[in-house]
Amino acid sequence: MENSILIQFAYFLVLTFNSILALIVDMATNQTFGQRIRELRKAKNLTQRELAERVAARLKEEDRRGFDVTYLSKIENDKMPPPSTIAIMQLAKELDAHSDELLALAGKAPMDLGQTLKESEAARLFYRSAQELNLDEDDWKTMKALMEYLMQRRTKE
Amino acid sequence: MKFYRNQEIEDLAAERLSQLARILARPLAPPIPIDLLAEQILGLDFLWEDIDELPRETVLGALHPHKRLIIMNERHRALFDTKPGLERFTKGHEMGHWDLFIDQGALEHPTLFALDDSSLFTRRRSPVGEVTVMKWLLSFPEGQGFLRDLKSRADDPNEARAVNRYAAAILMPKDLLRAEVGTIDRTRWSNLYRIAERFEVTIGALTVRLQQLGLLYVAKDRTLYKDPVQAKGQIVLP
Repeated sequence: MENSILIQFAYFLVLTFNSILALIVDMATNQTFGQRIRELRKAKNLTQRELAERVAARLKEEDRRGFDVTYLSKIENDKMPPPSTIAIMQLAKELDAHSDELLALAGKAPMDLGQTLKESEAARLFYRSAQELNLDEDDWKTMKALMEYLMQRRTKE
Repeated sequence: MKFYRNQEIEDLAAERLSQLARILARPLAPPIPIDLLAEQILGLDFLWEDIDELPRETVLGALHPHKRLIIMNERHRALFDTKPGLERFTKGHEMGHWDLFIDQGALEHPTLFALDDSSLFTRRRSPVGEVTVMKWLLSFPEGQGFLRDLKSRADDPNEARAVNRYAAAILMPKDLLRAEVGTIDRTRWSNLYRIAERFEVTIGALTVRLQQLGLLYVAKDRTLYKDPVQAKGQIVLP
């Protein structure tokens, strides 16, 4: 039982670690959400209007309203905060980017991570503890090594 | 103020277009992807934002050189939506200011009076802050001179001519336009409207460009002639 909870934590930590890794990358490059969107868009030779229209087409009516070229230009220039989680995930799809990276840059939790936290009291407690511990990079590496060990054991079982 | 001959502007525009074609790895065809040219070749970005206007003044767009930003006036969004050619020409116009008249090397250095945000002048937002800065500048001779320079620069007809020529040459490249009009009867307005649509420019911009290239003459009564020579012949010998 105890082992099973640990393995759940291991999965949870992998997700958390990915998000934190993205944040570390962001801190290292000092790139904002808007700057990253612009960089990805330019790499695909898309105009702001083209990207805005493509993302809007992917969104449901209620999420689509206002998602246009002017809004996207403001996001790219950091004049507006990042859009909703749903819109960020569609942006990631259009830009062939990893949604976790964009969500981390936007300061938002990935949806699956949010779902895990919502469903598991233990996960919430673990997340709080991890935050209170103020883990440094070495600590996270140790945690990751522990998770990998647990996952390997689980695979063997 | 630098003076450009028309041929110099045409050459620069042609070079920019050829750089874009290389990056896209395909020959360009109308409509010219002007946003890509601004971003990928000139390194400029776009921002749509409300730009304040003085009474009886229309500001469609502005250039913020320090931020390498073309600001499109969001209050005219509806107009731009109905006239995409106007939006594209406005962008081309601001790109012309950047490519022809901005000393890009100097932007890396500290600016006069340590003002590194020229938005105070180009965008006229935050009226309270702007008024404060204006009063401060007007309080000493160097500041007054700085304001005079800015005003004269904005109104300079040579610069306006040059950047409009640049915009036209980018949006309606000479070779592509010649090829297009060579296949139609360009003395019919309906055909010209079709070409304007194809190049995504306004009919006004197209007729000016064709006349610049000697490919059209529009008489005062709006009759179209293939060129000024034909027009002269028709008018003299009715």
